[in-house]
Amino acid sequence: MLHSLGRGAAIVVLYILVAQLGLLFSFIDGNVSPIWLPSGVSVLALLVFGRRVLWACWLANVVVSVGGGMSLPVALVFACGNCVEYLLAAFLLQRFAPRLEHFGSLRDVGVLLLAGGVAPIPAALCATTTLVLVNIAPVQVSPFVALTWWAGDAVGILILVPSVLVWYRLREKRALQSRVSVAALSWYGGGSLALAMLVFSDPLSLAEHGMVLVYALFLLVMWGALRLGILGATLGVLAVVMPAVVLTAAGHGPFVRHELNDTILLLMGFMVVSLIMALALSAVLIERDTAAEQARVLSKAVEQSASAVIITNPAGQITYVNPAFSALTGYESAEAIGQNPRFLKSGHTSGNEYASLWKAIIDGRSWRGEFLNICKDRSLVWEQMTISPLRDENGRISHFVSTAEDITQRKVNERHLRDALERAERARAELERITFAITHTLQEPLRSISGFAQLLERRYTPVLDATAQGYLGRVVNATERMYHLFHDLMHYVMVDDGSPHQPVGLETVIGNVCGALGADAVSVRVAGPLPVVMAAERQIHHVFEHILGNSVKYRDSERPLEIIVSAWPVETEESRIRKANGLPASAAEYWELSIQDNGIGIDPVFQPKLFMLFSRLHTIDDYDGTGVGLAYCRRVIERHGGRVWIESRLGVGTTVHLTLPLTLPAQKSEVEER
Amino acid sequence: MQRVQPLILMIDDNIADIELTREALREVDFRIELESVRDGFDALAYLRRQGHYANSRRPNLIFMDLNMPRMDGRETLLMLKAQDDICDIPVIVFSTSESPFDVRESYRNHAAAFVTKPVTIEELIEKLRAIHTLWLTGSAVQSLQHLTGVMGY
Repeated sequence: MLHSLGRGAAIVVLYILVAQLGLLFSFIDGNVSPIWLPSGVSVLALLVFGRRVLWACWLANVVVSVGGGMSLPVALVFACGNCVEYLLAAFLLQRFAPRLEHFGSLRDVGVLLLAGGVAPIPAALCATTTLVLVNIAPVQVSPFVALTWWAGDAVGILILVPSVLVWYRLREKRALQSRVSVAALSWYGGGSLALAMLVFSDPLSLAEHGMVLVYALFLLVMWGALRLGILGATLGVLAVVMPAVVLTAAGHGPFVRHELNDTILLLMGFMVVSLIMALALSAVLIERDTAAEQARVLSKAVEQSASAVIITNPAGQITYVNPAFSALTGYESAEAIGQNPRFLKSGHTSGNEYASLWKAIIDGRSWRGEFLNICKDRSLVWEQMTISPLRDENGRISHFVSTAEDITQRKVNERHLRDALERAERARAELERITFAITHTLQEPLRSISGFAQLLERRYTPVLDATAQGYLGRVVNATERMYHLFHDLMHYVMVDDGSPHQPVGLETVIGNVCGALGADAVSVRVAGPLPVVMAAERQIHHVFEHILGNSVKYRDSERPLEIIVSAWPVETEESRIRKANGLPASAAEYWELSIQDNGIGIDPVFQPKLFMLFSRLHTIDDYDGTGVGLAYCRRVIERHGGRVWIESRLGVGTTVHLTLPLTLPAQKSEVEER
Repeated sequence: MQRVQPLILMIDDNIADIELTREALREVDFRIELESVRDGFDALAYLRRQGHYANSRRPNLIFMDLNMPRMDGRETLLMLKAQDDICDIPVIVFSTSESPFDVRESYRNHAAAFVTKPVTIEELIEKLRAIHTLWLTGSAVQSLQHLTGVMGY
């Protein structure tokens, strides 16, 4: 509050001082001033501090008017009219030229002229009407009064606002134009001021003939705008306008005419023309500089790009190549320019591909593809190339631009990877074929051994003694165990049998498995709904058979077995990022399931070996089994695009975790298609 | 009507399996005769009474393995079912395979049943007993004759 009061007081004081200065320039009785700078002060105050300092402008107006001999009511009316002017000007500038202080475009200069020209009209009309009504000014001079009032305020705004804004901005960014030195500005400002004073003090008494010299002042302002930018422009305008006003008001110089109207008109014209010229010139220069700077950055970007860039004309002749192109192909820019890019062709790319390329870019689309090109040193290089048409302002294709990356190494890596994948796939298929064949072939003699051993047991038990019967029993048991091994191994190998994936309700599967295990043996609690996943039904069934079967098999005899099955959607990296950015969540792609039991648990030492084929933690005599179950589970789950792992504490229980995707993983890899 | 002993033709290249089946069959019904050939090629010769099978008897039932040399079970099944005077003999596929593909393919080609070779002799006997009841008992054969009017058994 105190702060804003102080600020307001400062504005009032400044306004009054500037007003006193303005009265110096006034003609006749200190009433009519052709340049009323206080209006500029008020508009600036509104622009810099906002509308909350309007009261200070209003108060200052009242003080100055009363001090100038006006009655209080008249002063109040003047103040109100002027406040409308300041608000209007500030509004127009902020609304239509928010970046005015940069004077970066002609449009901003136009807005400034508009604001300066339009805003004082209501104030001038209001003041003139008041003056006529209270009989200070006679009716017949009222047009002159209105015109002068308008012109004074307009010039006040136009001269002061840009100059102060530009110099005010230096406060924040020192380097407005680092090219312009303070010394140059001082010399220029001082010189202009001196010259203007010389012209307008008219020591040679040239009077009207001195007009010729006024044109020289225009040149001076122009030079300032061109060489010293916006700073020079505003400085130059101030330097020539101030002496012009002061000295003309004092009755010197080329503008002094018999008719006061003519004098003021000439003075106004001089001020407005020099102002517009200076601002417009510097704005155009800044516009051009900005465009040139942008063009320079763009051309540097192309020049220094790591991608090889070729630009051709519509006929396909190279007009530009960048250094990266030369580095990639070995051809210097002089060797490439004027050629058609086909001089790099190796003949690897088919005619069809070229046809599709040309069709795309002539249609105005970009084309992406890979080329095998020949370098200057006759080496071959693979390039990933993007070719796009460039259009001129009439929409006609003026150039083609191609950017290319060297992907030779990537190609080599890709081929190695593909070869390796193919080899691995062949080896895997071969291994499975062999395993399958072995399993099948070995089953035949096994069945003979087991069949005849059983037949022997069945038919000849009465004849055999106890020892022989024991031996026979061992043979029969061993063959049975071998059967189970074969059976499980077959299952393991046959995971890739191409069983169709279909929606499988895990609730049903677990119900079926529990039913098969025997309701009395298992107390399974399903916590929450279980998902429907895309899977090979039989395989998923076997997986749960193994997992739940293990829970039953490795139960703790000390306590009743309890199994808890639960499932929840897994947050993937993508869904996490979606959430973090407030995007709508996508449907869960993965489900995690856990099957928790309170069985005997697994010693952590053995946990790494759990999923290995034929690895068993117990002897056959403690628990029977083949050591295939969990390996099979892992194989099935991984083939479905999921993961399986185990957490367990000895004597507490075991939890099997697994994830399953809701949708299928991409089935066939690219390699197999080739 | 002269009732003769039922005859099963077993097409299998594994002598031990044939032997085991024969032994198990004896426990089901000692009157059943079992003839065997080692592959589809010989089976066709047997059924067409070619070569040294000139005096062979038409079987009531065929047991057939899938994996055999020269002509395997799948091919044989197609050939059997394509021949007019043989296609009415029920063929039971008797294989180690459990593959759903093999099962579907066999039924599609008109196998009467698909039986996986059992692991234990008890199971084998059980399965043979079921087959015997379904296809070979007097009542089953008579029912078939009534239904079809065919007197060839």
